Amino acid sequence: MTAPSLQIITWNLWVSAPVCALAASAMVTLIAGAFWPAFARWLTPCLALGGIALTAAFTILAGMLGLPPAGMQVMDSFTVVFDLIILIAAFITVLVSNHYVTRENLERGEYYALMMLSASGAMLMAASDNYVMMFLGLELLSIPLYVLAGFSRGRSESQESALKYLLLGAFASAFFVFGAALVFSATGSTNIVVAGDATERALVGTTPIYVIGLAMILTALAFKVALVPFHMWTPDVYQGAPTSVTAFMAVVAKAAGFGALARVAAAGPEGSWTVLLWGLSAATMIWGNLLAISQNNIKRLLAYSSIAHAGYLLMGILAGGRAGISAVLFYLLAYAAMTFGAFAAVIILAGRGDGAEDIEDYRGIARRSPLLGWTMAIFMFSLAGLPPFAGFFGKLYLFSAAVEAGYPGLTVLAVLTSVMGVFYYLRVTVVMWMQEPEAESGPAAQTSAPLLSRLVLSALAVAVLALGIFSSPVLRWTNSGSAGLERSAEAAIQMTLPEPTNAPAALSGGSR
Amino acid sequence: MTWLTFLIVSGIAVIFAGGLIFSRNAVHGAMCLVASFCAIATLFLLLSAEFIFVVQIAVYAGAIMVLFLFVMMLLNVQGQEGALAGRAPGQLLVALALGAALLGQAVWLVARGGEIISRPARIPAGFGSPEDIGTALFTRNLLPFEITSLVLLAAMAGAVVLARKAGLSPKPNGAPAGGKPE
Amino acid sequence: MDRWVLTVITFLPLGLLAAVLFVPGRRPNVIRWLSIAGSLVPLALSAWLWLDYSGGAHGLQYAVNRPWIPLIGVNYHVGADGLSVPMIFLTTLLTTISLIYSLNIKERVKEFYCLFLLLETGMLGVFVALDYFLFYVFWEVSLVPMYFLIGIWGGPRREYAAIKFFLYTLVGSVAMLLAILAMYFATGARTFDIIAIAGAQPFAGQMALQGLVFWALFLGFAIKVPVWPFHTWLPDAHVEAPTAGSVILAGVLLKMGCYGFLRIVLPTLPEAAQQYAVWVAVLALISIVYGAFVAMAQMDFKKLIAYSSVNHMGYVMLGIAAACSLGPANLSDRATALNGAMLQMFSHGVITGALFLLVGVVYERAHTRDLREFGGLGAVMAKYSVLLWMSCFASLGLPGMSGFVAEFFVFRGAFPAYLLITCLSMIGLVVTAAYLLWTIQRVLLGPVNPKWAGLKDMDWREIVSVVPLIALMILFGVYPAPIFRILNGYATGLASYFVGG
Repeated sequence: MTAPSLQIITWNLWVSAPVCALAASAMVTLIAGAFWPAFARWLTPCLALGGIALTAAFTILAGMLGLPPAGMQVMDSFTVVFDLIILIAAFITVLVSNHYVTRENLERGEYYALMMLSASGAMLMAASDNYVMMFLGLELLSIPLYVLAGFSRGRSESQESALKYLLLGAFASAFFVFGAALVFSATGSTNIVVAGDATERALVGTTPIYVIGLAMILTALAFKVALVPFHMWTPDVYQGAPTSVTAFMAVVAKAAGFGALARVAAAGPEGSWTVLLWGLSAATMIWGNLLAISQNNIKRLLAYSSIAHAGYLLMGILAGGRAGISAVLFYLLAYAAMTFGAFAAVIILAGRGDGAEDIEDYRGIARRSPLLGWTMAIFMFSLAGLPPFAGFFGKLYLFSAAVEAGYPGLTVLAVLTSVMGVFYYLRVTVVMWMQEPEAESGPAAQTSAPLLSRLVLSALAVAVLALGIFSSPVLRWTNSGSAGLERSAEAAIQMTLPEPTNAPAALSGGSR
Repeated sequence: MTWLTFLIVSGIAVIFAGGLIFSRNAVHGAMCLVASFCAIATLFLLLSAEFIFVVQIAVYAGAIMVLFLFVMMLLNVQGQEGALAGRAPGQLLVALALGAALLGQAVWLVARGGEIISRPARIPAGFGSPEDIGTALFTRNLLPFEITSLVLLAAMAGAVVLARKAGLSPKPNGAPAGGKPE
Repeated sequence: MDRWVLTVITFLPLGLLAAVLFVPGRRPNVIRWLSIAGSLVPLALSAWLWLDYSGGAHGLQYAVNRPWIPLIGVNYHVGADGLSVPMIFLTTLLTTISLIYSLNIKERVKEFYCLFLLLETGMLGVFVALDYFLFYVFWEVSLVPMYFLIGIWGGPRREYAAIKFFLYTLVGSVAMLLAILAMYFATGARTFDIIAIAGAQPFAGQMALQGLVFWALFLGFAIKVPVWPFHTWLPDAHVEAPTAGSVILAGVLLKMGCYGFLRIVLPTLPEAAQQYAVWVAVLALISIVYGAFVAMAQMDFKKLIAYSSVNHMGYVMLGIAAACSLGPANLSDRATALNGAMLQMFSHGVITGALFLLVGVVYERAHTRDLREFGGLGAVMAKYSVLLWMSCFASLGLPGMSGFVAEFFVFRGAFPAYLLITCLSMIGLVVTAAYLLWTIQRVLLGPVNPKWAGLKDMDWREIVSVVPLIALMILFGVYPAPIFRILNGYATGLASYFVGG
């Protein structure tokens, strides 16, 4: 072999600008927390907020440049929309965390830095058009989450949660790597779209390996977004992890998984892929809602509800196309607002040491704190999918996309299971509004909260309402995102990137 | 010939990986892991990728394993008897069934896609050479390479968080179970 | 200004709610009077609407059509015609009356008035919406406050009743949502407009699919009406609800079910409606007779009135079924049945509203609703006695009261279509008269129970609440022309769908 001529980097650095900005901000936060621990209490969250805002600016700027795919990462309008959703979620997490972290003595610089690193992993997953990159995104998302889940060092539940999440998460990652390897061996490419296209060119005999590889990748992502039957970890981990981390996990990790699924789905795998998604979606909706009914712990209830919502979201992926993916993006936004809202209320209500997390502890809360009563009712009704809240509009867009794509049966099932869901969401409002409060001396839930928490709670409630009533501009925005996804899938096929046949990259990237 | 070597070496890798899972003694497990790593390194040799072979031996079988053993000795981890006890009764059956399904899948895969798996790999000249790897890492895969450093940073920060003595809580006995550095 | 009057009426309570939210909770009187005074504005506007409405066949007036979510074809389309104008008036009237009557609510006043105003917006929205999406949103919006009203201010079993009410209605509305989606996709024009979809007749000729959609919508609306056998939530909800809640529940929310049939099912799915009309008529007959007999067996005053609602709403359904029957009935028969049904909707709202208020009056004094314990109240509470007599007479269909006119029209219209069913449902009429007279006897007549000798007569708050309703019963009983002027246009227009079919 002749001496290789070193190629100059050919992609525009703007493609990676958002992830770099967020990671750099995370490092700054990390260092600031380490060097000035005395100021960490207010400095690190402020730096985190600033970093997230800066990243958002970079994302919007990069999106306006209209960059071509870089071969690993894509900066299309889907990435922009998705990144902004992640950044909004991260921003809210920081705001929601503040009260909790202070109360539970978790104030360390690493908390916010890890959260930002995890968010950058989520952004990477949705921006990657290559399985190698997607895997790295998955790891960058997950590793900080394992640590964050165990951040409450004093509580053994938190430790247990972290260990459980780590073991099962590593297992899922292995599935991803194996799947990617199989896809590569079947198609000779780790590019998602090109690999999908290679099978379309129908190399006889390669299809089963490709399908199995894809199924394994799907398994790993299904684990991340907690689809039945890969959901077993969810209730335990959600319950044990610090509540603010749980909120982050429920929104950002789930969103990242769906971003990656959307990328994979856009490559157009047909046939058995749709059957798999159909089954997963149906099982998730039924099982998630069914098990949520019997929960007494609010965090477990929200865990099962998040499982059920993953089932609805999967319908959008299954439906695909512009309407389906747009509905997924919209629903993610709505889901973020209402889930954060619910968890923010849980954080306030649980009191020091997370004492009151049973639904029964919320008896008569609405009487003592009308703000908590009203906002929690709004979040619950929105999660249940009642108009005029965002949850209803999101569900409607998902359902109509599914009907249009030819899945009326699944839609009927989804509608029926969401009625099932109403029952347990309703129970929370019953306890909060219609039962008498306990005696003041009992271990009753807290209702006092700092001004910031109350402001965040109100803002989220308003957002849930506004996202519903004024959903039109938001929907147009998410529609532009799904259009971008379609366009870059087409572009990737037309470019037919010169993929070399040797790929040590796949091996060195996945040497876990 | 290569085919036979491949079968033997990969068989060794799988057997020792199984040994790692089933051994009750942590040190034995670590030794099994070393053996498995060595077998995998041999697979790279079969692909005539000498450089990766060396790296695999040096980094994984060497450095990382030594670190593992150090940690185990420092913590004085005993063989945890009965770790498998106290499981749900049906769990073993379910696990066996699922494992059998996976095996069946693999067999079916080999049978169906047989010609592809057994197809003599067309290894391009210079595959696995330092130049080749360097070119791949620093041109096409530069971005993933850099991102890997982020992943490592996250893992490192996490390890520090978990390993540090808990700030105000009196009992620092939350073992760094989740803090295995990547 | 004309065009936006409906928007103003609908959203004014919402604005009022926002204002009330800013009044501190320790000033309950400010909250109360602000709400009552504010609610007079929609009432005045809807009265103006009544007078201003010029009628005519399918005379849609005050329509506003603006894009809301253009990507999926949702419009903010509101308008009023002969079907909705009386309902709007009924809603605003009963809301104001309920707010006045609820001056005696002492607990959580702010929440109560806020929820009531939200409820008013939801109900009004249902009656003005001409877009399925908008309709559904308002339909659900009206559900949530009622759930809280029952659950917070209700009786001892309020949690059970509230959840039962919510889940029953929700199952129905979900079936409705599926039907709406089916109609949306079958039309294929990317529109949720009720009138446009009715005009497109998406299922013309596809009887199987049309039947499916029909029964889905039927489930949604029949639970709300309620038609036997979907009525079981009603007694629980009514018995546990606070008085004002019962008034709105019986007076307006039940009407939303009938309204759905008249606004959506009949115009959009005429073939299925015609084919299955006889089944609807049979269910209506069962509701009438069953409701009457079960009401007779009740010892709880409020439960008795609740079951009488099942009975009376049966007449509405009978009228609707007759209007779209397969038989040879001519246009005037069908229009008569529809006029009767629509008048019965209005009249039942007024009469039952008054009856629930009167039950509330006696319950608040005696703290019991057991009919066996009363007796001789006529001698103790003179004003109460007069008002109860009149309301019961109106309810049992005494000529000269609005109930009689409505029921007469229904029977007259249904007679040519369903001879046997109509005759059988006369049984209900007789039993109704029996149980109401028996109730009067048990409550007002007979020897005075010494326990109740000291009961105070009605105060001004209660009188102000009930008297306007009594006045309307008599007005439309003696001179129904003003309401028929409004109803007839819509009734004739709708009936013409089914003539010669």
